[in-house]
Amino acid sequence: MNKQPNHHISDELLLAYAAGSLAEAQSLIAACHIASCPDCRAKLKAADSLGGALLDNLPPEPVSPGSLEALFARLDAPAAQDKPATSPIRLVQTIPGVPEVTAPAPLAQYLGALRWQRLGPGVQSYVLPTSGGASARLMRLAPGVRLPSHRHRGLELTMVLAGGYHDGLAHYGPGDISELDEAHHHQPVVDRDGECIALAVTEKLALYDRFVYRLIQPLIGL
Amino acid sequence: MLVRCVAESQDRAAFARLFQHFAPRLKSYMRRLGASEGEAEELLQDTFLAVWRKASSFNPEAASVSTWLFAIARNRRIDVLRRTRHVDIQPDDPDLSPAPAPMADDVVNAGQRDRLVRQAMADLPVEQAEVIRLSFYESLSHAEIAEMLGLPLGTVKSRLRLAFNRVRSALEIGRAEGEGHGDLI
Repeated sequence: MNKQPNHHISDELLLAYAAGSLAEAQSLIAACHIASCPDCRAKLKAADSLGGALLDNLPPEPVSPGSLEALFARLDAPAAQDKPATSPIRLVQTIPGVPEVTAPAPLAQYLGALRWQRLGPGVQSYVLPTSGGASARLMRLAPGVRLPSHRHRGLELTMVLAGGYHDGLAHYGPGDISELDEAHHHQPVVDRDGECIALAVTEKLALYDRFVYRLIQPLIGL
Repeated sequence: MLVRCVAESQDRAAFARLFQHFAPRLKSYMRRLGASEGEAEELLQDTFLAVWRKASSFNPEAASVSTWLFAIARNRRIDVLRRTRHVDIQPDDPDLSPAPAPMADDVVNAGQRDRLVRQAMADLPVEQAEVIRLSFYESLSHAEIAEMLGLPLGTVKSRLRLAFNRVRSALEIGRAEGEGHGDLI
């Protein structure tokens, strides 16, 4: 992903990410886009500064008198007794089964148990282990595949990791993210010159336009 | 520089001063986000343990101490209180795709940036400052803010965008002034 992305996350989403009010799956996809987008990283620094500035302005609240002593006692205790500190994410992995595609750093820790599941002709998916009110899945789409036309009950975020697709309005390539609310119907069509790997995050199940897809939806969980 | 003293010589006096200044503010933050008294105290312990361990990764060029602490506390509180995770990213991680040119904010140092952001926040119209505060300090989703204020969701989002644009243009102006002083590499 050496090219700079053309489609970015919205300012609202970036602020919600900085404020920590997104579900895990949403914060994952936001982090993946920000990791591959220098412009959004610059914005994130501004948004984090907002959090710091607000912190300075909060009225202090008295801390329990023994708190600092308890903390010193924990610093003295062997590290093994504490919960393991979260290490900075530096893993760089490739997408399992697609070794030529590098996973964005934030995604690398979610790929350990990846098993592609076939959903239909040219469509494979893997649901990532996240908790909270949104779900994340990797999609692996064959060249030229046309997904069923659908819309969503909540926010639908899609980020291309490799290849590309056109959704009738715009083309999305590596690093690009599409952010669609429930007003949008769309029908992604994968580029003909290669398969497309994408990360998709939805709040609620999609509403398919065609009845037949609604029938099979309980089976595919999309 | 307190954090550097903690990082380089495990200086407990410096650590205690950091705690005394920031713990009461962080506690206030945790309480606003719905933590009970006991949970807030436990989160303070977690947050400052992380501060002790991560002190060496603090980069004063990239973030002020309050911005750095805010990010640590935000992540701890999501891990613990919401029993879910915030997927964290360090905007200055050199492993991330490099920017072709210096990033806009990089020419303004962290201290300047915080001062500019604070000033821009103080200058925001009340209704814009309010949605920023609710977003960061009640950790409400935009839909929840809309419901609470009795506003359409689109209005909440546009207020957030306007507020963020003002803050960012304050940083841009700061950058332009920085260039005037030959700060650009």
